[in-house]
Amino acid sequence: MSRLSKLPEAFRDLEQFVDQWALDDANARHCARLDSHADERKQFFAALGPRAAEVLDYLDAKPLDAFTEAEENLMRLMLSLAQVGMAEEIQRDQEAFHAQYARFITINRAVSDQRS
Amino acid sequence: MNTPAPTFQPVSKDALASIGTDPVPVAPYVDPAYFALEKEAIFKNTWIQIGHTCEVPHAGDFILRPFEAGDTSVLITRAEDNEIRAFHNVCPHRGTQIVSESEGHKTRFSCPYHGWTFSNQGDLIVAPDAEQFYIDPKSCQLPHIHVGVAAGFIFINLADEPEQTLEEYLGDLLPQLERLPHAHATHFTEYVYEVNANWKLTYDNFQENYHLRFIHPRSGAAAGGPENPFGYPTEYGFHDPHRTQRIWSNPNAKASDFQAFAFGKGARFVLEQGYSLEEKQYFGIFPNLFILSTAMTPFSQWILPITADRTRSIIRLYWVGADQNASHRFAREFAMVSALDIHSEDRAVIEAGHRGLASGALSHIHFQAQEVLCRHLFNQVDRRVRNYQAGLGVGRS
Repeated sequence: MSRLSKLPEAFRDLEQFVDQWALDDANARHCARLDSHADERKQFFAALGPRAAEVLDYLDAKPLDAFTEAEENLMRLMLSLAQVGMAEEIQRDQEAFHAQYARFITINRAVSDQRS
Repeated sequence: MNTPAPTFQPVSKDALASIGTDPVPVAPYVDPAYFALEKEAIFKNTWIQIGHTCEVPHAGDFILRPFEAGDTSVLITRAEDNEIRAFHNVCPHRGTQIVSESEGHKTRFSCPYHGWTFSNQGDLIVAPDAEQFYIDPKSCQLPHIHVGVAAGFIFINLADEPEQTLEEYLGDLLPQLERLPHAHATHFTEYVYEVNANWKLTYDNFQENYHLRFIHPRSGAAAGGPENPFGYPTEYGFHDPHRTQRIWSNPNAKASDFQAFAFGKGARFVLEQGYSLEEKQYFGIFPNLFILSTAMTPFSQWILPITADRTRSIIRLYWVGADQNASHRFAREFAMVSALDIHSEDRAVIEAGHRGLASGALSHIHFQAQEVLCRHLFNQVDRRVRNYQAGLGVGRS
């Protein structure tokens, strides 16, 4: 992945989240949520949550198979936001308790997975 | 006039008493000898869901599924004639398991041991040095398993001659299943986990809502409300050996902002495909599959017994068509995450339930009226186990 263009121009300010959250497949995102610190989830959700509608409007303008790597990264961030939004808005202070059992679950495949 | 809104009334105790009211014995939930009988009486003698047609969309596709309760592993193929077939993954030469990949595209399967090679229709094509055998190798096919397809799902039946066709077995539920997104799915999302608990205890967790407010106070908040604090269903249906319920949901439940956002992104696609957001039917297909018809999370859980005290659950969300755009992909991912969070919360109580019963402290447990689906599963299982024992001439005291 090019270090220069991790995310599309309009979303460059979110690049600090790419390494932790822009992951290839659903199980990796599931594990990233479970392995993350509360502060990391909070910062990610605070930064991307309010922009979720704007991000999807941007990405919806293009077919999924025409995404550039930077757009694909933005999509991956949104898919991680599905995990982190659940932790931040629903589980809240129960997230650590929840995570100890969620670790026993493996996502074998998701329709969102990048399959070659 | 201030007429109060009609309040929820659960299905009455009296109406459900015909399914039974007695305490239920513990042994069937923990006893390895009972599990051995279940394998023979049920899992080797009933239509069992083993996969979905969208896993083998093209001629030459195959899947391999472990099926511990049937003591076998099952090879499912789609051959050039477009037929789906099922075989024991067993070489008729000396019994070696042939296939080790869980899925793929192959029209020939070669045994790693001595190179016997079979077509995806089960016929022996090559047996090296065949003239050394005292039999006609052409008579040696992959051991065939009865297979059927209904509502998109692939079922097998290990009986020599199934007592019913799959269509007869599903009966009046089949047309209802055929209307579900599952029946038309082209893609699925799958997650899996194993628990240290009997398969019926695992299944029972998903057959009653009595536990929701205690185990899922946050993730399941919309399932209950002041007028129905336990989130009991609005109706039950008994279609022996199967069962159904209609899920109640709180019309005044307040979704979180993010939930509402994700739901809104997904709802459009569901409606465009002609599915209703009001669908809330639960189908318990005997013995070990249940299906939830909710269009936003079109869901199935496949409960695979491994031993008397170990169970694998495979959960799938079945999707009609590929993701259409980023919003669609995001909404489907969120639906998966929502379901997975609930599953993770159930794990500890399922295992604690098994440990408690395995302690031997109790001889019986109690199902209340709104746990009637758990009782119905027990009744259906126990009847078959008793009939099987009677056929063997083994009585139970």
